[in-house]
Amino acid sequence: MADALRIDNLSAGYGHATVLRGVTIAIEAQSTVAIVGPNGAGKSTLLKVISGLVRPTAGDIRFRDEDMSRWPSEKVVASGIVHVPEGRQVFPGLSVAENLWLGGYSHPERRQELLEDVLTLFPRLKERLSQAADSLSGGEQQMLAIGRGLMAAPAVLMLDEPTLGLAPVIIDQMTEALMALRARSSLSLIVVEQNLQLTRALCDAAHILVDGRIAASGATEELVGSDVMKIYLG
Amino acid sequence: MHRLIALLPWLALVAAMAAVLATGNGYYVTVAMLMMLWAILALGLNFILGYAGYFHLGLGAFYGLGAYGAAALSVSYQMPMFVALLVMPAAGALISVVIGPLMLRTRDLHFAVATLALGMIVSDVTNNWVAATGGPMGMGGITRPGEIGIGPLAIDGATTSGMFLITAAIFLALMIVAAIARRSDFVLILRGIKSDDMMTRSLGFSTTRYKVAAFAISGAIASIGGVLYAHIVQYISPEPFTFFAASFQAFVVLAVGGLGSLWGPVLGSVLLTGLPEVLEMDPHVKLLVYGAVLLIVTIVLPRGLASMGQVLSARARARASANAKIKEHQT
Repeated sequence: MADALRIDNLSAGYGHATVLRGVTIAIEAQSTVAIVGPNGAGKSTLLKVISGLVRPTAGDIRFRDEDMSRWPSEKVVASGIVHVPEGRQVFPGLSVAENLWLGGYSHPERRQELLEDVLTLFPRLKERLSQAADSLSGGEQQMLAIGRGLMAAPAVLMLDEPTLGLAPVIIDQMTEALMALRARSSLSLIVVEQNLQLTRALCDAAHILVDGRIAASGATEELVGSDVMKIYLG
Repeated sequence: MHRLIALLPWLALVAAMAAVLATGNGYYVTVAMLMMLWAILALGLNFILGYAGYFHLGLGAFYGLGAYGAAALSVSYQMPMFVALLVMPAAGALISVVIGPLMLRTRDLHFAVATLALGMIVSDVTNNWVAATGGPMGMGGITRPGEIGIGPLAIDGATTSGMFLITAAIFLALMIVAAIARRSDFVLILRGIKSDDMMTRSLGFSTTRYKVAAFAISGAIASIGGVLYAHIVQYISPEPFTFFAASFQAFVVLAVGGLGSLWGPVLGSVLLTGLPEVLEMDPHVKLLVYGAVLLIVTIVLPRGLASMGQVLSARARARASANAKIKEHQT
């Protein structure tokens, strides 16, 4: 299968602090990939570099064989790569509907259809459409953040720690929704996740990121439970 | 039903205007014009401050630009008012688009200080460039528009009531534009920027462009306000465009009325420019009252006068549900 994203020898950081040191990953189209690793390994930075929020210092990123390493973030989103940042990022002063509506900006003619699709996936949001986003529970905010990402009709959806700090019941609901997303043929998912159970259920392949470098890559089934995983994640 | 309720404030506004005009009292008509003028400035400021959340404290610069431009066009070039109404907002928007990208790299306090400096520059220029602005002496002899329209529908801009109708038409047009804008994607994106700039960018919006557009709209509308001022008063001097007289007052009118609301600018202006005028308040006392009103509204109604209905109905609902719970408990 063709690669959706090819990341080659990528380095990046903030000022003098180098975070990523030569990361190379290939992500197949329509696959679901996990990025795992200890805190501070550079997982979130990797997603930020892909989405154009942090500039790489070396290496390149190719999307469908086009070099996108210098694209501004709006071009990245317009081309179908959508980043759902960690920490249930919603617009606090805006309603649920307004949050979703903003996400669908690049597809004005399909907005209504996309909105209905998101509400089918996350029925809880439907009951809360006119409510302020900051009045939602943590799990609902996470659903809203993912839903807003889906409103951009992505080809690649990047989720940063979608289950962090959620109650077990909500994690189950989230897993269910993500499994439903995975079943969609048009979508590649990149998930940064500490929850190995979810990773195992959801992802075809996993890349272990340690100290800004890829320590191991492979099929999730093989990696989870392997010695490498135990060494780095305990 | 919902639509009809939404129409009520518009009807009330037009009725109030008609009532003021019907009194035929030149003083009340002039006060009403000043109220509309401040509502215009505040509704312009709403774009950059109310929606996008950027503390523009230099609105007076654009207000002054509009007024001095209108005066120059009228006195030196004998141009009719409508030329100034086209040229000055375009100039205000153009200047905003040129300096906006630079100024909007800053935010919060830094942006406020940068815009404050902008206002000071204009104050300095109007005071010291005597050849063009008349310096502290100001400029007089601004000609109001003459007869507009034909037959019984004609209005004479030179009269107070004629000028009132012109001001009212522009004010209503801007209110309608503001009402449409409020429901647009453009304003939704500005509110997204206010809520979280970085996240708005990550959704694919070039936020700088939207911020510059909001800054330019505020500047253009303030310039329209300046043109109106010049033709209402027919004499301009640096004083009305200084920080406390212009930028600060526009900010207070908007903040008291309700940041980001449609009717806030109108309510704020009625309370803060209409009442002190009718009560013949001393200018120094007026500033004190402004401070006090701002303080009280910030504490009691943090989202401004326009949110009063919502706040009261929410309280009533909370009380009703509390009462219901107590009853439930008793039975």
